[in-house]
Amino acid sequence: VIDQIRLWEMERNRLQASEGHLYEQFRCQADYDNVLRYAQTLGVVLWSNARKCMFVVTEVGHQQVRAFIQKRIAQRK
Amino acid sequence: MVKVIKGVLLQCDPTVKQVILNLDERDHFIIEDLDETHVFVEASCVEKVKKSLEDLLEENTYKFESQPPNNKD
Repeated sequence: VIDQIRLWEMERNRLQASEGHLYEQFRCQADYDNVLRYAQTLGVVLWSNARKCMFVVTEVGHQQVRAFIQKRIAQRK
Repeated sequence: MVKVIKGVLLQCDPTVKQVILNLDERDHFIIEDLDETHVFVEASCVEKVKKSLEDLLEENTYKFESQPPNNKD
């Protein structure tokens, strides 16, 4: 019976939803690597894929990552 | 330089993901199909997806749940 309850619980928990922001269409691999590395040091990355050059950060992390990108863009000018 | 989209990350097993893809054919709420176990969707659809999934699981477990409780030792 315990196994059955565990199975049932697993089925119930099959879907996990977390609010976040998807980052995509980076200008180049280096930009992607750089921003992802920053987000990783903050510990806010929910998902990432180097091949697609995309990652998802948490709601909280988004503010900081956005600020980081804006700073980088400003520095470039 | 980069595009940012607000939404909800759904993590699930491949079977559930297939169900989500099927639901999307009707409502189109998927923003990005990320990989085998992740999809990025519009926040407004999450409750509906959860409900649909719940209903499906309910159907599957109905027989088990409706069995009389085991006799106590």
